[in-house]
Amino acid sequence: MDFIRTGYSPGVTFEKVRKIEGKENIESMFSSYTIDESKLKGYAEWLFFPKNEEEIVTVVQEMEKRGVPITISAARTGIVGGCVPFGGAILSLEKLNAILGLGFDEKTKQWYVRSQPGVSLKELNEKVIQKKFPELEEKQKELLDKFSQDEKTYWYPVDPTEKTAHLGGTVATNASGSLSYKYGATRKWVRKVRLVLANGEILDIPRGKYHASPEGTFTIQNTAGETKTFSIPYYRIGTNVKNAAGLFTEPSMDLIDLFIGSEGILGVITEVEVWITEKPENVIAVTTFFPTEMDAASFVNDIRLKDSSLKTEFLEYLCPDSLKLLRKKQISDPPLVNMPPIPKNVAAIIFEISYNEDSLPELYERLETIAIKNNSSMDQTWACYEDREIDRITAFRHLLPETVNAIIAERKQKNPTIHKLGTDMAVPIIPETNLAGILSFYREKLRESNLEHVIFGHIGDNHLHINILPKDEKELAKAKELYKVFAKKAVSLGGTVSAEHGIGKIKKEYFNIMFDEDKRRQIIEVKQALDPTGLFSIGNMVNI
Amino acid sequence: MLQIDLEACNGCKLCEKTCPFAAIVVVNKKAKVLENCTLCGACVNVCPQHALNIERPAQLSPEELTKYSGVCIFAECEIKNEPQIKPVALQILEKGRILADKLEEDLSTILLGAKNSQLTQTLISHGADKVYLCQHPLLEQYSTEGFTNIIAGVIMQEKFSIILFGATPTGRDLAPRIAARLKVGLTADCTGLDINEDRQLVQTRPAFGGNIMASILSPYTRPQLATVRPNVFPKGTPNPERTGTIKEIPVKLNPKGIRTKIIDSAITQKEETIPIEEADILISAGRGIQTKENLELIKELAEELNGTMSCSRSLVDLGWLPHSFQVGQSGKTVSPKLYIALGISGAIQHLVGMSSSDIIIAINKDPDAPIFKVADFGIVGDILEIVPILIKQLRELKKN
Amino acid sequence: MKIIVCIKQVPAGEVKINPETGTLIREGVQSILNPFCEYALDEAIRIKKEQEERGGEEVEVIVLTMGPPQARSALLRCLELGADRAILLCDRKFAGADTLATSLALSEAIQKFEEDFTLIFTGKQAIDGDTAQVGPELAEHLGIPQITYVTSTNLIPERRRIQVERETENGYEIVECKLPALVSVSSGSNILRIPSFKEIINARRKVIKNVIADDLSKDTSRFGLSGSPTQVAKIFPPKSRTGGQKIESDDPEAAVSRLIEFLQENVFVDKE
Repeated sequence: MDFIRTGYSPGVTFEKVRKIEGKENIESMFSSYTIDESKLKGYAEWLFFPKNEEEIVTVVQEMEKRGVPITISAARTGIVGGCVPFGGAILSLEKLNAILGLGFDEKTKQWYVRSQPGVSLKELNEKVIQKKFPELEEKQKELLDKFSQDEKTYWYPVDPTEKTAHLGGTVATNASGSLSYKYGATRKWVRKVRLVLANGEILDIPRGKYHASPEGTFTIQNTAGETKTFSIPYYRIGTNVKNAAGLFTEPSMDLIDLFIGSEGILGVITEVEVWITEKPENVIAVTTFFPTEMDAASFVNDIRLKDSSLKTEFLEYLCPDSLKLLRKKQISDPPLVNMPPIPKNVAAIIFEISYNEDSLPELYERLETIAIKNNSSMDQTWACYEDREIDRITAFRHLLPETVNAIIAERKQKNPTIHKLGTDMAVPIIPETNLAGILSFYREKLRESNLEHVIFGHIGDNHLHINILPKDEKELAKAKELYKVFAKKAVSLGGTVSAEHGIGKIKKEYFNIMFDEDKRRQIIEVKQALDPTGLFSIGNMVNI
Repeated sequence: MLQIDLEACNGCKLCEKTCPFAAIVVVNKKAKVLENCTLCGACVNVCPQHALNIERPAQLSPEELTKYSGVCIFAECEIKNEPQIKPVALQILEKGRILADKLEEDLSTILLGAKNSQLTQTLISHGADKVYLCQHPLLEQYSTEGFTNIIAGVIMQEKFSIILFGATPTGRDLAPRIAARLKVGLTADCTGLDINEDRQLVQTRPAFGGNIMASILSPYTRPQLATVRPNVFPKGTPNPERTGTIKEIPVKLNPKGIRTKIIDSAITQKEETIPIEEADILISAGRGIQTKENLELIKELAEELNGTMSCSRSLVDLGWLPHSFQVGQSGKTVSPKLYIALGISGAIQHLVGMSSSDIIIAINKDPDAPIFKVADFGIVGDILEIVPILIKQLRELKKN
Repeated sequence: MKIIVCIKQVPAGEVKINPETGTLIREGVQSILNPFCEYALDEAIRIKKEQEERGGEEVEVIVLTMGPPQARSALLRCLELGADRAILLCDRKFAGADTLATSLALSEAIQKFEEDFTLIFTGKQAIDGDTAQVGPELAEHLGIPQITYVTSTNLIPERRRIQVERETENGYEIVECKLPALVSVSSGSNILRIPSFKEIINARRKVIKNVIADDLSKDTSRFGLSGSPTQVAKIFPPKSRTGGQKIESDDPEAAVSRLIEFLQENVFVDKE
């Protein structure tokens, strides 16, 4: 069905909504609401803390009337300035923080959770894993009992590193992370979305109900009976590449997918349903060391393409320079790194794989064969299976970007305008030669540039982050040029300029490399159909 | 009674050299026990031939149980310029007095050292009826074996019903050694002590990191041994008029009987800083300070409030502060008048170390942090934002 | 040369008490090797490797524990980390042991199976019981000297001695001791090892010997609950404090002002 009706919400009186007025008040008391983890700093004249959907409707209608744009804000953990306002109002969804229900889909035999957008992933997962939902005990006693009697452990397998991120924010940005290698990004896990549109009306979109017409259109009817038909974008993005850039589209697409990852430009999410799935009981995290980067890349290809029974949870990369940086840190502050001595002149692949005790030796033999083929060995690994040890490995992985940020912070004291330049490109994993190809390309260009850098990240998805650490303005300018060269190369291979960070306000320059004027126009047309006056999250993804 | 297996004995004289009471001699290449044997067990412990044995019954009969009476406290000393009684010993002396009064029995203390007999009056004025005084040059420094041998001897002679030690590093090294020698029970780290209707010692202690309290009895063995957590019980007001008896025990120690030797020692904790367990105001930092440099901020606040800095375990693990600053289960128990927890989430292991503070203030980013459940006043916020404002406002206040 | 490491399996997370039934809630809590025992093992393995490197006497590291069948996994952990073999004292007759009965069973197992040991390592305490008693009690049963709260060790095999650094209340001391001896290890500055996948697999081929009470003595009443002088009379949840006022700092300046008022009310800060 390509026809959908919006619903009516009465709203409340505007006075009832908790709000902060005035740029100065916001700046002096709530300055953290005008910045996110990208450190892009904005400003706003209004800050709203609605408690429910009705209050959101009221804010949307009132701001529409006054011609004040709204920037939607959640936990502000994004790194592209998506929630950073430049004037207008901030709509913070943090008070919509209740888990609304647990569900069991009889058709698919799958559990799901219904939640408001302001619930953090940390809270969601703690409750799901422990099967403890005190807020639902009264109204869903029977279902909760059924859930706790289910012997399997469940989880919501989306981990964008920052677990304080809010569910709504992760749906709006189609968040992903290391686990997306096995489980996919947020999109796959969303069962239903409910939104407030710019006209103050409600859209309730369960997955699988509304699909685009063969002509690529949807028709929306409002409560006054007026209909509007709009076309979905007809550009195509490769299907085997992890992507967070642009609006999603595909022939006869599901309407829900248009909103997932739309960076808040189409509506305000007020409710979501997400699937949860079985959490592997035993996983072993193995850090494997290789004499060269190419050995590591070849190991990755062998694991993910040659032996289909080896289903790793994720495959992460640390280049020799990354390990060198961490080793330096280890020498100066061993407890902070909290790892055995890091070997010299090696690259590392960290992967996690589920196992059971009986098949462990067989799994070992298979991994050892692949490791030996690529000039490594399971004898030179760090292997962890206890929770607290896996946490150690995770902390070790995250220490790299933290260390890079600390170095930049130090350099900033001398050159306040410099900053780190982090890429987010991914290329399709097939053909197999893509990984080595893009790595060699990065290497060659980086060597020519002579810029300090590290390469690390989600190598399982051919999604590597290059972090360039400029020493001064001149190097920063050089790095920015290099970034564009990398973006063009990734796009030429059918890849993306942003696999997970999104575009927001600070990656548009690179977005434009991937999306030419015509493609951007297709996005703008969707935006204008649903939000004709340009109310929501202006400045994200496209300029209007 | 000390049994000697004369066939096994080869007359090596190690027992003679080890006995602190000169109660065993080697005659004609065979060990011979004298009448003054205290059954301390020192010789049994060192005999390479396993030729010596003391039968210690696993359970005492009701009649035998009644032969044990009195409360005894190990008077642990420390040297701060000159020898003095450790605060924890005075704290348990006060508690021991209450227990002894309840039992209507004597309160004794054992004082070991080289030249500290002047401290006997301190013990008496804090409630001791008797002081067992043992002076020997080899007792100037603590050694597990030297102290165990003598204390076990005194205990066996006097048949105390209850013996209490401070749960200090020394107390926790010494008490289990004595308990194992006498084959009796020992309860570690007690935070509550009482006498029940059966005149037994009820020993209460935290277990599982403080999540659970357990009350423990030793119904069929005597003496009943316990170590007591410092700063849980208040120390009493001394009464200089109080009188008591001093019983000097002659001891004969041989360096050969002490198999450990201290080669070097150093004090790394500065003298002028107040130990955290003695501070009235503690400003305590946790992982929320994010970087080592931010400790300066905590120090500044501590100066403004005339407080002392302490921390949670995570900062010690990171090596940012020494272990002596650590509050909590694996650190120190504190009970200041004011405890300010900055960026400390309040794991149970931390809470057990500070929840007896008079007033607790917590500042933490996470509104659900457990620390707020014990705090009298809490601010949900980033300490790196709040603390500078607090310092600024305190300074403004001082200026006015 | 034999080095024995006595270890304990402990719950990794928080064990709470059900206030209604008064029983322990252990569900959902993983069991792990007690961290201090891991430090102790680490020290033993370090000595083993050191001796290997300098071509000294060969060192065999034996881990020993008393516990339920599940305690095997803690022993397996030690084997992964480099121990050579393991002994598990596992019998219902050992159950309910206090520190005295535990240390007695351990000492008898050592005398029976590994009497020719050179060194015994223990952790300074277990994180569940926190008693720090089993080590010294074991040393006493075996009649050997003990050194507690040790942060680093230096074995001098040619002089049959060990030198250690140990924590004191306000600093540290260096202690030398004749062998055999028992050393209890506190955390120190050790960074714990992580085994390789190969070591994890190899550990599964090493021997874990099962020992029952009858293997040690005819008089098994000295073990377990019946051999324990202490008895737990009752367990109960600790007294809890209740939280006072909590303010969300939308406005940090105002929040701090309220805090200062609170400090003034309680006379920690003078009023203006």
